[in-house]
Amino acid sequence: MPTILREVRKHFRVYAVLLRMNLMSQMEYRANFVTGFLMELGYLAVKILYVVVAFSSGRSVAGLSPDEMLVFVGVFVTSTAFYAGIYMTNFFQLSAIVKDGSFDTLMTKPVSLQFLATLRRNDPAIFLVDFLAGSAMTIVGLSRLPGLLEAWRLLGYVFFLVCGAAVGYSLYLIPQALVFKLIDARAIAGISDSFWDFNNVPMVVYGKVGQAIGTYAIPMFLIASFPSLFALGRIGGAQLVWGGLAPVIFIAISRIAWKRGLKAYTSATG
Amino acid sequence: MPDRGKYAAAFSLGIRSALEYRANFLFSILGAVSPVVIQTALWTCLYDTGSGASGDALFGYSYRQMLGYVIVANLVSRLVRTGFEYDVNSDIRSGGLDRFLVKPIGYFGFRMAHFAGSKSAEGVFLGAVLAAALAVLSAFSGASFGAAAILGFVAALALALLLNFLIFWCVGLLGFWLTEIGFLFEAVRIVAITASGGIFPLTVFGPALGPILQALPFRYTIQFPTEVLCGRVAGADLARGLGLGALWAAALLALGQAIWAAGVKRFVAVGS
Repeated sequence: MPTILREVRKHFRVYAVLLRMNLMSQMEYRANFVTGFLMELGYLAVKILYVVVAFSSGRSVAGLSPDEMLVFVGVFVTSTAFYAGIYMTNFFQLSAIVKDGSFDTLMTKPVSLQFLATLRRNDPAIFLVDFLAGSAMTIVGLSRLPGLLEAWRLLGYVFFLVCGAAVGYSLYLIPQALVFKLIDARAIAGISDSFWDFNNVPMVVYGKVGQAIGTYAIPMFLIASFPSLFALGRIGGAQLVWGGLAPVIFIAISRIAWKRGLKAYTSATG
Repeated sequence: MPDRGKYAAAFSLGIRSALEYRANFLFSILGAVSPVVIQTALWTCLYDTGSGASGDALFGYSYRQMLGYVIVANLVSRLVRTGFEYDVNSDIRSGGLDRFLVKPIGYFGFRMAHFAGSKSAEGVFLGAVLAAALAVLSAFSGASFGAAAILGFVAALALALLLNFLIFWCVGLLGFWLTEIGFLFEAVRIVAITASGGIFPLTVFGPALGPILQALPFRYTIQFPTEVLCGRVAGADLARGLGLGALWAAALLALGQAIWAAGVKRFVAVGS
C-alpha cells in the first residue's frame, strides 16, 4: 500500500510540474494563448446556440423550463473544461506521436506511460474559460429554481461531475487504443469527440432507446446529464448507483484496452 | 514537365494521400453521423407537438425539410472541410516553403491541385453516402431530388470547395506573421461552420443577424449547396447565388495573393 501511495504522490508531483510547464509554454506563444481563448469562446457560443434555438422556436424541450435548460448547458460547459482543458489535446496528438516516433521517448520515462501519453498536455486557459462560464450558468439557473441551491446538492453535483469526467476520459481512451494498429487514427479522436457533443442537448431528447445506449453501453450521458439531473433533483435511484459505478468499470476497461493496444505498437524509429 | 503535368501530379498526390490511411478516412465519414443524430433528435423533439403530428414549420422549414437540411448540410460540411492550412503553416514555420520558391511550381497551384485531388477521392465515397441518404429520405419522407437540383448542386458544391479553400488559404498564410496558430484555425473553423449554416439553417439567427450572415461568403460553402439540392433554391436564384459566390471567390483570391506577396517578403528559411 505505501508503494501505491508513493506512486500516486509522485504522479501528482509530476502533474504539477506539467501544469507549470504547459502554462509557461502558453505564455511563450501569447498569440496561441489568445486564439485558444477565442476558439473556446466559439465552441461555448455553439453550445449556447442549441439552447437559444430551442427556446426561440417557442416549443418545449421535453418539458424542461428555460432555467432547467440553463443548468443543463451550464453543466455541459463545465464538464467540457475537463475535456478540452485536461485531456483532449493529448488524444488528438497521440496519433502524431506514434507516427513520428516520439512515443518512444515517453516509454523511457520513469512514470506511467498511459499517464504521460494521455495527460501530459493541458490548457489552463481553456479550462478556466469553460469552468467559470459553465459554473456561472449552472449557479444562475439553480438560483432561479426554488429550493435547489443547497450545499449537499452542490457537493453531490461535484461528485457526479468528476465521475462524468472520468467516464469521458475512458470513452476517449478505449477507441484510441486502436492507434497502435492503425497509426493514423485522427478520425477516431474525432469520433470520440462526437461522444462529447451528444451532451449538447439533454439526454431526454434522445428517446428511450437512445437514452439506454447513452447511459449503459456508451455512457456519454454520464458526462453532463447525470450531474445536471442530480443538481435538479430529477435523478432516479438506478441512475444514482450507475453514476457512481460506471467510472470504476469504464476506467478499468480503458486500462485493459490501452495495455492490449500497446502490444501492437512497433517503434517507428526502431 | 509541362505546367499541366506538374499540377496533375499534385492532384494525383492529393488522391493518394487521402487514401493512404483508409481506415482513418472511413472513420472520418462515420464521424459525420453524430451531428446528424444530435440535430435530428433535437428537431424531432421541437417539432413534436404532442398530437403525433410533426407540427408547423419552424424557422421556415417543415419537419421533413429540416431533416433533409440536417443530413445534406452535415455531409456537405464534411466534404468541404479543409486541413491543408496546417501544412501551409508547417511549411512556413519549418522553412520547407523555400523548396517551392526555387522550384518551377507555384505554391498556391500546388496546394489547390493537392486539395482538389484529396477532395475528389473523398467525394466519391461521400457522394455514395449522400446518394444512399437521399434514397432513404425519398422513401420515408416522399422528398424528391430532380436532375436539375442535382446538377445545380454539383455546380454549387464546386463553388463551395473553391470558397472554403480560399478562405483557409488566407487564414493559413497568417503563419507568416504568427507562430503556433493551430487554435486560430479551429477558432475560424467553428465561426465559419456556424456562419455557413453547417449547424443550423441561417434563418435561426432571426431578422437581425440572419441577413448579415446571408450576405457573407460563408453561406455559399454549406447552406447554399444544401438548399440547391433540397430544391429551396433554383432557377434565377441559383444563377444569382452562383454569381455572388464567384464574386466572393474573386475577392478572396485577390486577398490571398496580397497576403502571400506581403508574407513572402518577410519569409526567412533559416538552415533549411
